[in-house]
Amino acid sequence: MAMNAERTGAALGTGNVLQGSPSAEASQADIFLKDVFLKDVFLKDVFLAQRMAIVGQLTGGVVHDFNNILTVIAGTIEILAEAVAGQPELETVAGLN
Amino acid sequence: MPRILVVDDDPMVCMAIEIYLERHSFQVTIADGGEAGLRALEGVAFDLMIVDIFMPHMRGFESIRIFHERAPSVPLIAMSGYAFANLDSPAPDFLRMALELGATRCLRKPFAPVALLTVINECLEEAQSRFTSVVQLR
Repeated sequence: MAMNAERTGAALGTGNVLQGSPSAEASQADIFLKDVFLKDVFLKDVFLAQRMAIVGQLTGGVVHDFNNILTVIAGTIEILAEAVAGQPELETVAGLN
Repeated sequence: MPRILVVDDDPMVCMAIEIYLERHSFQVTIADGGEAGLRALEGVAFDLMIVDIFMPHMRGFESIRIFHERAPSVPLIAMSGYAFANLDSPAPDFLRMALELGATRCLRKPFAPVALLTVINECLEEAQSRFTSVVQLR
């Protein structure tokens, strides 16, 4: 057990982590492994947050462009609706928006 | 005939607004960005400005702040098509912030041309009544 833990510690570059009595060694190893685990979880959360931020920016950009296009469409339909005033068939089409 | 300056980096938005407003007896000048808009402000006295929030070469709300500083007496309508994917998130309300920076009114794209016309008329009426009350005070 101690040997395995020592190997784990050595593999992670912490040669002096495991010292003292067997129970103290186990406790220190637990803390160390917990720290490594928490760091790993934290980094995963950070990466996820960064990815979500990028997705949000991209989505916001697409929505922005889409809203611009809709503004143009609404404007031009209104202009055309005024132009076809007095022509009932075309007025109906212009009123579909 | 009221003179209106339209500043938007999207040429199609500029053109649509220009044609629509000219059909409603407004004299319209369009500018494709902040710098062009500021140059247009130097030569002509406008009755109203319609400015897009977030344009290239302008950082964030810089456009609203700068245009308001250059012509503080001219009503400014801020417009923006920027939106967040999740409306429930505590995202900043850019249009409200634009009002705090000097915009008279705000329009969220897409907007109906009638809404634009209504807001323009409100702004012009308010500016006119403010001008009248100032003249009366003198």
